[in-house]
Formats: sequence, C-alpha cells, structure tokens
Amino acid sequence: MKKIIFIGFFLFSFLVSSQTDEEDIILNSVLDELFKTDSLSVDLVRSDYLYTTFSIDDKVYFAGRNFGINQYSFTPNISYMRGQNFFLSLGSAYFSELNPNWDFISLSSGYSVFLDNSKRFNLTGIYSRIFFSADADELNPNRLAISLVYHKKNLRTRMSGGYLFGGSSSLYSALGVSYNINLVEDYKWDLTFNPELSFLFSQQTVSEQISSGFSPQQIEQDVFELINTKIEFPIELDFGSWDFEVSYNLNFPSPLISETNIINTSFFTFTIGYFVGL
Amino acid sequence: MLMRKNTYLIFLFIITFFNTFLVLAQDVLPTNEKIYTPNQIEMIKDQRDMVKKNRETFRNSLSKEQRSMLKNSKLSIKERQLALMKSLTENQKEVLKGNRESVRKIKESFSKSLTNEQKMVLKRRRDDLKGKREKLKDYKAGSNERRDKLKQKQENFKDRFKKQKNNLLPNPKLGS
Repeated sequence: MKKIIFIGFFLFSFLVSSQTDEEDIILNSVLDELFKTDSLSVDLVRSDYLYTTFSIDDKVYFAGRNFGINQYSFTPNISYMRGQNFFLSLGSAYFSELNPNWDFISLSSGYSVFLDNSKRFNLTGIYSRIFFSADADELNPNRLAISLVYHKKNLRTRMSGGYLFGGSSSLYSALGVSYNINLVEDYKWDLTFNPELSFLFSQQTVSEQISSGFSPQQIEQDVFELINTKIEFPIELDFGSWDFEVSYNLNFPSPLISETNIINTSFFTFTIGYFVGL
Repeated sequence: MLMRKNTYLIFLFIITFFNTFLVLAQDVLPTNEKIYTPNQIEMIKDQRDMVKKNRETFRNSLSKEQRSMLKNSKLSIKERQLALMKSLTENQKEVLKGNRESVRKIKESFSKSLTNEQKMVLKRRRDDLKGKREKLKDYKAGSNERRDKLKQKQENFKDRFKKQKNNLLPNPKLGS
C-alpha cells in the first residue's frame, strides 16, 4: 500500500509541477476545444504514441477458475510507444469484492524488433515490476517475458513465455491464434471480428495424497502443464483515435491433480481505448 | 584463439546491428508531402493558419471579467468553461461561428480533392497505426497478473475477501 501511495504521490507531484499558469491552461483548453488545428490531416507522421485503455470484466477468473468470489474487475492502462520498438506501460487492476480493492500497479517496459523484412515475425522482450497493494510474500513482483508474434494477412499467432520471480517463482508459456475478419471497412472507420483461441501452460504447486504405511501423507510438488484453454469472440469498432471492444470469453480450465469439480466459465469484457500520436 | 573469438563476436555484432537498422529503417511512414498534392498541403496549411488566427482574435477579445471567470477556483474547470461560453458576446460568437463554417468548407473541399489512390494510402497508414495499436495490446496482454501461481493467488484473494467481510461487521467496542 505504501508503495502505491508513494507512486501516486510521485505522479501527482509531477502533474502539479507542470501546471505553470492556471488561467492559461484553462483558457487554452477552451480554445483547443473550439479551434482544432489538425482536423484535415488524418494522421500526422509521428513517432511517439500513447494508448490508453479501460477494460471491465463482468466476472473474475484466474486461468479460468472461479475462486469462489463473485466480483467484477476493471483495469485501466496507459502505454507509451516510441517508434515501433520501445514501450512503457503503467497498469492497475480493481476487484470489486477485495480489500483493498486495488490489487496492484504494474510498470512494464519492453523492446521489440521485426525479425524479417516483410515484418511477419516480431520478437518482444518485456520486464514488469508489480507493486501489490496487500502483503503478498508468495506473489511474484517481477516478470521477465518474451513473445514471438507471427502475422500473415488476417492470421496472427503469438507465442510467449515468462518467468515470474521474487516470491514463489513460476514459469508460464502461452500460445494464441487469432483470425481477423473485417465486417465493415471504410477509410474512416471499421468493424472487425477477431476470434482467438489460446492455451496457457504454467508451473503450479499441487498437493497429492499418497498412502505411506498406515497414515496417508500429503506431498506438494510443482508441475508444468496446460491449465487453461480460452476462446474469445471480440467485436471491435475502430473509429479514428477511439476503439471500442465487446468480447465474450469462454474458459475451459484443465484440472490439476489436486483439483476436483472444475467447471467451464464465461465472462464479458468491455474495453474503451484511445490511441494518439504525440 | 581468444583474438579469433573476439573478431567473430564483433563481426556478429556488426551484422546484427546493421540488420536491425535496415529493418527499423523501413518503419518510416510516408510523409504528408508524399501523400498529398502541393495544393492539398496548401489547404492543410491554410486551414491551420486560419484557425490559429481566429484563435488569437478570440483570445484577444476576452474581457477582464471573462478572464477572471477562468480564475474562479470555486468552480470546476468544466463549470468555468461553461460560464465562459455563456458570457460570450455577439462578436465572439460570430468569430466562433465563422471559424466553424470556414473549417467545414475547407474540410469538404479537401475530402472531395482526395483521389481513391490517396484514400488507399491514408487507409494503409491508418492500418499501420492500427498495427502499432495491436502491438501495444500485445504488450498489455502479457502484463495482467493472472498468470501467477493459482494456490498463492487464491489464498491471497480469500484472505482479502474475508477482510472485506469483517470490515462490514459492526464494531462491538463501539456498541453499534
């Protein structure tokens, strides 16, 4: 919690220090609203971008599992991108039934390069630092990840792997395949349907009871296996700098040794995004 | 032997560097000068100049009262904006109306002047931006923390859920 307050204070100080003359700022904001100067040029050539998103999940699942808490969540995120290579991202997550409600703040940075001239293969390395709001000794505050994206026409395949450390360290890997279908296409806006199938493999601690002599013994061990298969059905409206997405998601969790009565789950996600060149 | 190994490493580094440089060099999008005709660029410039001029005229026309209205810290920024809009004189309203009209006219003739080829280029450029946005989505997708160990995350959640429930119970010490 202290960390979150510290980061919040730091960001707030930064914002306050940039406010030089309140009257000018307000006046300029009114004038900017009334006199837009770049309404003709569709997109200027820029190399810095800012992408802000706000997502709401109507139900919360972890790797497709219900933790027995009925709640919704939302995740604000802001990402800065320089060229097509460097990015910096700040995100957080709010869970409606937890105390404290804000689960974490994550700060990620990464670099990506195209591996070929036709820009089909893209490799990205990411480091994330997570500041949890509640004491969580076993949760991992660091993540190192790498992802490889193959993109050809409407087909997109994403393979990624990561190492979580600083708590009870863990490895994961994911594979996702999506196909983009343009439902309506105009040079000003478009509507797309982009179904995706993904698989999540992860290192998990499982408990197993074994018979040893007269009394059964419980042993814990780490396994690395498929833990969830997910299908997403997102419909996206892309309108200039804005994009709106509604997605219906289905989880098919694969039971671990210690799990019984695991059921398939589903939820809706609604996302608003704003993408702008700086 | 060590010298030979170092030479290989330097060679490998140079090749990687140039290859990356070549790939990155292709990231440059076509500039406005390459997409639009000189006439269209002139239209963009005219529109900007005209808006800037109208903006300055409007700014200079603000009275002391209107400026002090903007400093009124008792009102929120939105309320100050609304108050300013309500206080506009006929002349100021005319400047705004004239600005809107001129922009609309230039926009119309600009849109009509675009050829199908230019529209395609603009669309490609928009797609390129879309690609960038997709990339940012990819980065974001990896940043959710729902990949941690389930057992630990579930315990953390259940503990915090209990806390939430306990906080809702009346405090016996206060007798409420």
